[in-house]
Amino acid sequence: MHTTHEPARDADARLKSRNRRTALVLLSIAAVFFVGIIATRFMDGSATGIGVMGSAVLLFLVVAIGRNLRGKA
Amino acid sequence: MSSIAHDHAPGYGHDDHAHRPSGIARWLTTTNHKDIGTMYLWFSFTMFLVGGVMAMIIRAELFQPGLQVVNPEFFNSMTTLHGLIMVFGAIMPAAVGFANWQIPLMIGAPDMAFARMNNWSFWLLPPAAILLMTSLFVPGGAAAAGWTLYPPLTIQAGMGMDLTIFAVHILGASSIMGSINIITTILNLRAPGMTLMKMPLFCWTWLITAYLLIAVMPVLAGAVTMLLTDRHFGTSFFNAAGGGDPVLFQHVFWFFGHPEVYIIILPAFGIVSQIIPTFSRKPLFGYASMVYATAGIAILSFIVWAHHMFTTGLPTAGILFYMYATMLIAVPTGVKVFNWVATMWRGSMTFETPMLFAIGFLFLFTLGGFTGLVLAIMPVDVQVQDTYYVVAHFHYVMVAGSLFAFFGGAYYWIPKWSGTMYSEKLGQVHFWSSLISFNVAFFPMHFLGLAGMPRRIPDYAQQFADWNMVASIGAFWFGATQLVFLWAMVQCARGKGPRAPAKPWEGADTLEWTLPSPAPYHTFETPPVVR
Repeated sequence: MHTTHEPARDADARLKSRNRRTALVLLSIAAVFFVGIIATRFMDGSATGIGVMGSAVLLFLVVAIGRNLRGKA
Repeated sequence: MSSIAHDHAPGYGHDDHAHRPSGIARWLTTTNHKDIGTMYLWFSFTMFLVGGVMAMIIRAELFQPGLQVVNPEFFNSMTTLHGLIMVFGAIMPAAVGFANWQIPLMIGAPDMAFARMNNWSFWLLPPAAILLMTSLFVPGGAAAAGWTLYPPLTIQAGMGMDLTIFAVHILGASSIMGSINIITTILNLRAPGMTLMKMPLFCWTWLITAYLLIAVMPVLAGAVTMLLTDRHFGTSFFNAAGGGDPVLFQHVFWFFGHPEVYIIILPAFGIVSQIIPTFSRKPLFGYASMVYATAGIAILSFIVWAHHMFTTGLPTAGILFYMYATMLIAVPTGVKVFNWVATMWRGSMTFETPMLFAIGFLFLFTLGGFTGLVLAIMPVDVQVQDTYYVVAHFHYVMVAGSLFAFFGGAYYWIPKWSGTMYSEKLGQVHFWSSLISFNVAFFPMHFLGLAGMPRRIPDYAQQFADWNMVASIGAFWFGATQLVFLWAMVQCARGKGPRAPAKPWEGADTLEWTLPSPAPYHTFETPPVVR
């Protein structure tokens, strides 16, 4: 009984964690846009906007590539 | 879509073992995507009626030249609230309602990925609507600067503006949560075999819309936050007296505002892309090109915002860029229109109410798109900026575009939602009356705009009187016609009508039609396998 239910529970937990990861990535994109637009205007320069967006894109790339490499390892 | 294997687990398709709470608790605490979809749809229709009453007040005032029904300040509040309520309270929640009902059913998911957050996304809407409506009763009245909330008017306005800003914040939060939910559901909860390129086009259009929302709603939230700090915390983002720049707000607002147009229209494209193949009894022509065209429209929508600002004094190079980029959107849009027409070509077509609304959409949206192309030409835009030509253009896109598609979608799926067939007679009356009255109301606005009648002004010169009277009659007629729709839907909700079979439409081939009608409270607990 215990062993038959175990894989289903694992799959459920994996799905939940995958959902949470997807949501967090999307939420962080929204946060970057919200903070970025105010920061750009507050610091009065388009360089800030490009900086915020560039850093965000780099960060997402590092996280995505890092996760991929860790998965392969 | 490819064939669907009925890989039923025991009890699959008969899983109406609903253990739902009853009464008000069911609706307050529900995490079921169907219940939440229903609430979204009723909420949006209620707000549609509220916004519609405001439109009637506007048209009553404009029935004749002179001031006769309301004072100018109240008229300005009406135009502002009508826009905000229709965009944020009626059209967007309606699209989310369709998404809630249909996306899990179409991809074979048991529910949305974050069911509790789904409940919260919906229940944020009523407080926001109350804030907007309450603003009418505070000192200084409601926001009256237009739905675009341009400073300096919005910096100088009374407390009603603060309520509007908070309402926009809440609505934005709700939209972002809804979008996260939709993207996560589509990416992670598709049934086995349901690859992205096998998904019904409605799911594709919503996936792309949700990404658009996540990118632009925070920008609007940022803009109104800056407006709030300018009003109360001594900053000068947009306050010229403190060194700020009011035009900056327009850039930020339209960076949100133009993609918003596509946020409103893309789900409508998705609905029409389901209806036309069904009633043409042919697969959608050029499915892959439809997906790429949708993505193309979404990407282009980010680089055209300043075509709303041609008269603010942009550099020539900027004007040329925004003009050509805007015209470029006609290419993927044209691909879509061509594909819909090609789907109908030599199809075995029938003209039930959903198909009528889809064809009405196709005809009138194309007209609205064409006037958009006219407005993209900067020398023309300078002439008709802020005239009724613009009002006519965007109502052809938003009302005859989105709203007609949503009406079509409601008639198309109501048998699955309620288990009852709608009255075809009422549906036909609703369509033909809407089609004629809509054109009576909005087509003359092209003439008024070209003749120079400015928008958002409660009085006008005698030369505009005749067409304004015609437009007002059309608007009252269009408003009254929507009660037919309400009656048709209430009849279905009450089960008054013939029982709907599992698949009432011969040409329908998506996953929801494999379920009984009405769809059971819990569906696809065992995922179907799509081949």
